[in-house]
Amino acid sequence: MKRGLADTISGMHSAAETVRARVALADRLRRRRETSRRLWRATPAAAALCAGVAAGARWAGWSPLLPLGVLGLAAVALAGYAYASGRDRAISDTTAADIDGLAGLGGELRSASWFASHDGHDPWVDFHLSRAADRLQATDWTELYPPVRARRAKAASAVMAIVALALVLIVPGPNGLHASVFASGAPGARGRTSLPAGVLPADLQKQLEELLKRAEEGPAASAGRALTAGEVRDLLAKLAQARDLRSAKDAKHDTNAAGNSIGLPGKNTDLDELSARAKRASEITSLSPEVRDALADVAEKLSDMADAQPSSPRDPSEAIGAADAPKGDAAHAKNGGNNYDDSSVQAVKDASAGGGIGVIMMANEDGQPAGEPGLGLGGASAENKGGGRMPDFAAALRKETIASYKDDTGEKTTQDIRRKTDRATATVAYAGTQPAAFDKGRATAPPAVPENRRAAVRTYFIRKP
Amino acid sequence: MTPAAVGQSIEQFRERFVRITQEVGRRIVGHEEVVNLTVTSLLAGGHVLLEGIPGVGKTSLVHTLADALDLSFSRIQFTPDLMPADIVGTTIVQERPHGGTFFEFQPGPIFANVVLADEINRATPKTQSALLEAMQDVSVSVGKTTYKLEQPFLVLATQNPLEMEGTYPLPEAQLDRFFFKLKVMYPSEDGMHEILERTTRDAETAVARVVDRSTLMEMRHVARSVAVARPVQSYAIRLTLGSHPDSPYATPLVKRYVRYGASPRAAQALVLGGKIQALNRGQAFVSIDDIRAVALPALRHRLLLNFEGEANEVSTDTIVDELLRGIAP
Repeated sequence: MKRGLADTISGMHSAAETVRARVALADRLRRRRETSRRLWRATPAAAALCAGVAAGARWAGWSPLLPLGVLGLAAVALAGYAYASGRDRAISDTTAADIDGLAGLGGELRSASWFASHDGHDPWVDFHLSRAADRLQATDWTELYPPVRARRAKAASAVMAIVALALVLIVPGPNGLHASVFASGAPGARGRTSLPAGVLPADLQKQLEELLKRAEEGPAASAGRALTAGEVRDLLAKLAQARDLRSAKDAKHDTNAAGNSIGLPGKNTDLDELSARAKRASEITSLSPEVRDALADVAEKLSDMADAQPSSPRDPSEAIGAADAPKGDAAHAKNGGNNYDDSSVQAVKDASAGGGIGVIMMANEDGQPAGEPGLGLGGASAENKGGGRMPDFAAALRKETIASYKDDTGEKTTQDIRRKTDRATATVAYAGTQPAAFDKGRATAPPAVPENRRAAVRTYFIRKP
Repeated sequence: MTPAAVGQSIEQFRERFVRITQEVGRRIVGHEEVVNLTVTSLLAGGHVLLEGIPGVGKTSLVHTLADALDLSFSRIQFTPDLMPADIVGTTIVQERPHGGTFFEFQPGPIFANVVLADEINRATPKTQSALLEAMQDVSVSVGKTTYKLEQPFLVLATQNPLEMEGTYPLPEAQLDRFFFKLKVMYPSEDGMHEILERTTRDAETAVARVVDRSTLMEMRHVARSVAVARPVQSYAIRLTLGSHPDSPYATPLVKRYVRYGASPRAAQALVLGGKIQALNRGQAFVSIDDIRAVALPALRHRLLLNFEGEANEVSTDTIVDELLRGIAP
């Protein structure tokens, strides 16, 4: 110790430099360790984020460059942080105190670090620095600041990164899982083909397009194969057959759990387009009148098929009830969402105020009166049967009330229909109703309440005080 | 001075310090810290106020220290009728051998290297104030003449914290002039055994003079040469400033119970005491721990409590402890 001290004293000019170098080394190791700890705390999270983005990109069909970009960005950020943390910097007194405390140097490093960074020549300071330099050189800093192992963090990061890369590079499909799943024709998939899957058989569609093409090209371009009315009628028959088959499938599908049906595409513009093409072809004068009539029938059939294609539900829950919902004004009012809105309720109230006619005007999705008003639940587009929706129940109940009221009177009554105007209440019309005998047949039973909605119906009609 | 000489100075200082404390320890039992801090104060050129109940060895400590040092010693028993002239001395009329008279200054007991002011709080403030100039400037003014006291000059005062009747609390200016205030605690059971064995025999324990005046002055010089880094000095300053209730470093207890905090003399005591503690450890630098080791005796008598503190009988030791905990090194 004394020999080492003497050697250091002989090289007194370097004592301050030695102290600075050793303190800088200690600080570098300390910061490296701290940086490693932080990095290995953040890396698994960053890798998990990349894996998540990769999975999301696969599912949603985003570009595979996105997860790769996130991965690269995370790597660059972590590397940048490591670089910034590892750069040499001035040693603050706080840093020196921390190192001193960990090394158990009793304040010698802190004091020596301050003196080494300040000018001034004093034998006591030189002695202090020389002894501090000896002591700092004898200190094993790597033992004080051992490298961070973080095995679990490294393993987790590697796994996450591999998963992210595998999702990006190995899993097949150019557009990702989402697209590949739907492209495979899975039930409920949102196809992106020219025609919705299952609407027209592929061969029939091909025949149809070929026939239309031949019709549009005209007899001259057919090269001896003039389009005949028989061919068109055959295709028309096939279309009718396909439509019937489709209707049967729909009926079966509706009776099953409809939750699997995420939704067929909306009103098919392709069928409309085909219908329009057929319509245009039927107006080509170069074709024979029989062929033109047959093409017009084809156009009408395609148009019917396009109209019969159910609208796409907005969400799966809506799709569940879509097949069972009664088609009518009340149903149209319901189609806007799960909750009956104010417009539909108001429409029911108006119908009640309308008196004996029992006109129920329900709003459609756009808030406009749906179709032609009619009696009871009737509506312009009533096709589906069934029930189970609150407005339907309300409408049915209202109808029952009105019908019962009219049946009970048994006399000819005149009832004024008053409406509120801007200025006052004025009689705007008189309606005379013919007394009618009570006819139970007029009282249609409300739609059956599904088991899972009975509690909701009970809550709706039976108000708690 | 070369660095090698510095190393030797440190070793000599440490050796002498240990010899003094060991020699005092031959007669004084169980008060190692008090002895250590008393010697520290002596080497720093400060005065010590020893406080303790009767019979715990305050006066014996001073006697023993004076015996161990080859210095002049005098004792002043402070009583209520003690006058300043009884301390500093007075001018008396002398007759010349060949006729005629002249005034001659007769030095008081304060003209000594080590002065024991026993029961200092029993004298009136007027008499107590006679020590002010001596303690601060190491000089005494009588009439138009100022007399320099010989260095080293050390006042070791004792006071009893229990008997308040017929006593006069030391004024703040007087208290501030004491480098350290040390509390002499009651000895432990083992210490009592040792005391009885040493004092109930016929033979008296002899104390050798281990340090003479020149050596003591050299030690003082060495003590003031120790390097203090600015962060350490800053800590001492923050401790001092933190004892003031309006300081940003003030702790909750200081804000609540302290009327006036420590003076800059406290910071001087902290740094000088820290230097001697460092040398006593064989180091050429002052560490934070050295400052903390002397914080309590350097600050406890410099805090002036407010009414609430006095009414709640708050100990200044508690406040200093909180300062040491609350102010980051």
